[in-house]
Amino acid sequence: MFPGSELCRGKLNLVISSWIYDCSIRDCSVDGGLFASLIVKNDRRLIRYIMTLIPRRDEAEEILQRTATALWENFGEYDTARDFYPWASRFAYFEVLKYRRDHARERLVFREDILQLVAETRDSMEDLLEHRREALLLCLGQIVAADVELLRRRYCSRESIAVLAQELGATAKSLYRRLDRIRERLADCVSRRVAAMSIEE
Amino acid sequence: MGGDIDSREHDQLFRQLLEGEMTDAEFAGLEQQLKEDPSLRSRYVQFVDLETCLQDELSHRAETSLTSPKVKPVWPWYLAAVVATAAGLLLAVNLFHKPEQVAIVPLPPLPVQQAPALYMAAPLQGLPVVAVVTALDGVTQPELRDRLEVGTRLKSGILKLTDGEVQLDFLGGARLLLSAPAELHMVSNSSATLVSGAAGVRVLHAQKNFVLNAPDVAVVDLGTEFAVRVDARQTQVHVYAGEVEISMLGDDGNTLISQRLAERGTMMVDPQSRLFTPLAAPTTPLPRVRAPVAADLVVTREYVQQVQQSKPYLYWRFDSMVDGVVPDESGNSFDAHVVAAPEDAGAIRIANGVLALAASSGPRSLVTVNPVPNFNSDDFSLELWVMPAELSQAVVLGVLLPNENPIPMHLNLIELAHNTALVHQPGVIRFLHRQPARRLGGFNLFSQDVCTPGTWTHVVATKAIDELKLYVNGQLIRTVSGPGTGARDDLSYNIMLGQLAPTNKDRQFNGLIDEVAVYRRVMPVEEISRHYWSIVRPSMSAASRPRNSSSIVASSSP
Repeated sequence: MFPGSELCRGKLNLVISSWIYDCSIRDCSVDGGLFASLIVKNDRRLIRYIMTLIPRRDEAEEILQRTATALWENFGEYDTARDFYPWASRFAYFEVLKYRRDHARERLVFREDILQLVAETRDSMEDLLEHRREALLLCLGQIVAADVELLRRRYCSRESIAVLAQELGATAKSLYRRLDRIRERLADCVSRRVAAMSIEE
Repeated sequence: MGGDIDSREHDQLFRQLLEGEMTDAEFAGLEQQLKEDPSLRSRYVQFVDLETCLQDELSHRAETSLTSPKVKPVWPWYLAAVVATAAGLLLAVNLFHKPEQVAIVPLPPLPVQQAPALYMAAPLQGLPVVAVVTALDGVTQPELRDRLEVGTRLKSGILKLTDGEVQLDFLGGARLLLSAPAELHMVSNSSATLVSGAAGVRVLHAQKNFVLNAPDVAVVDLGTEFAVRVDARQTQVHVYAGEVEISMLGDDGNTLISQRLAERGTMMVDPQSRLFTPLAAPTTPLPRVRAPVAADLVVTREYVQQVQQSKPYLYWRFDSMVDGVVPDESGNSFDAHVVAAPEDAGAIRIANGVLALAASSGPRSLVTVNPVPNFNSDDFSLELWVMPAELSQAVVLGVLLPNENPIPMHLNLIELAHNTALVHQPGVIRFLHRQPARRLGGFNLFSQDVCTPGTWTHVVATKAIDELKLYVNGQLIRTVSGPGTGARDDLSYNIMLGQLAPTNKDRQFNGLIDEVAVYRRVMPVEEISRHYWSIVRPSMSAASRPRNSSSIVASSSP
């Protein structure tokens, strides 16, 4: 479970709201609908980008909100003939750097040179990562419902491993092992499917 | 360095980072490896990305079941059938997938208390209201703050429903029924984004097209009624009447492919495969907007006695209409008659003791048979009950000069003010006094609260020589004082209900009107309050009181 993440997708609403706030001081009728649509369509992809740089859910969601605000403030400069995500991810990167400057003394925050290397690596892998996401959706359909539910409870609920283990009549250690095995099966499945996609192309 | 430990150990390290369970020394080591080993960076990115995808994907999935057979909670009796169904389902799943572990037998989740509906307005001063709640059904409400009631005005923001249904009248002229579980982002008075769940939309009188967006799809009404359901992967659109334009959106948020869907058509839209798939019918029932419940006014004997004791100069009760004539029950013979072409006469009628007005192709109104002489030669009060069927600019009562000029010359208006060129809250009551009677000018008094479709509202307007007052539901809302505010004259005026002018259908009122009374004096607030409560108090104490206490339940007039 990601530390501090009490609910999955918990702050998407605030991202949208951060745009809505501004609608009273700016004419949203022209491009507001387009912006909302683009944010709704890309926000999960942006959170994945941010998570690779700041791998803590709450902080990443906070940075996503700041990114959304920056995007709205600069939306007039967006060239609608181009893809939204590459343009938006640059803003996300700068928001990550700002966040890092403010939290440089905290634990487990990457150095700026590492952030740059990871961001460059990610940029070069976007197509692959999209294939992997699509493969994941298919692979989730192949594992038993109880395992999916176990993962869901682990990722999206407030319950600790100890509570889950007690509910299942298992030890925490055995539950960890079971979660690891499910994840490994998923990861293997994703790799196989992506390899198959490459062959088909 | 990255090759010193195998990939699974690296994954374990990445997981420690995600879970915040890494020592400073381990983190420094990881940074160094990431700097030096491009393949490790690639693996790290893939690992974190997959974990994030997994978390997001799982968050979309409804809770199913996860309990060990060793744990035996006390099951409510009604879950027995669910247990059997779930067990059968698991068996079927296992037969096909042959999982490595089948030790866990799923049981239905324990019943949990439903989360309340959540409305979250954007917390910024000055945002306009975009919609009004016009119906609620089966919604679990928050205990204290931000409760949704019929009449609640909503600004741009987010509405999440976990159960029940909420109907909203968007101020741009569309009515939307949101069916739980669902999440709706209200963007403006003519657009919203359905993030998940199902919604029905009927466009009532929009000045511009209503747009209902889904994450990858936009549905633009073309004068119509339609419904949309947004699932994790697909969007289903059904048209009840008229037609819509469905756009599948590209990465840039603009239309990539569009499709026109005609009446009674159903379309499955799959943005991933970029496919529009026509369906014979919706795969699951879709919501459809409802007209507000037309509750009759409970006119008590006490109310009628109160009015009669107040000695009205004109009193229309709408208990009967003979040959198109509504009698004046004040004894002063200011009867009213229907003015309408035969084909429009059906749009104005008496029903259950109230005047019911509907939209028509031509003008229709109820007008005094003879003008009221010296109407404005002294103080007066106007009293009535009104229940609009929709939010639109509509005249409830007008006092105007009796001439054949198609341009009406008004002394007074009581109207539902909505989307006008004036400055006021949407969907409120407006009282206008304009002396001398003419087309423009005069003093305006607006109420603050929305005159909600489906809800009866008591309105009293008083005019003294130097003061105008507006009362809504027994309370003084607005006073305008000063020399000339209530200027007088000795002319005769017609009193007209249901539209702005006799000869055209501008500002037609669609809804119900009852208990219209005119008094040749200024009613004091105590008297107005008495009138109001003599109807509302018995209704509130009735056993069958509605959920919305401001609504009034049906009953026959005495």
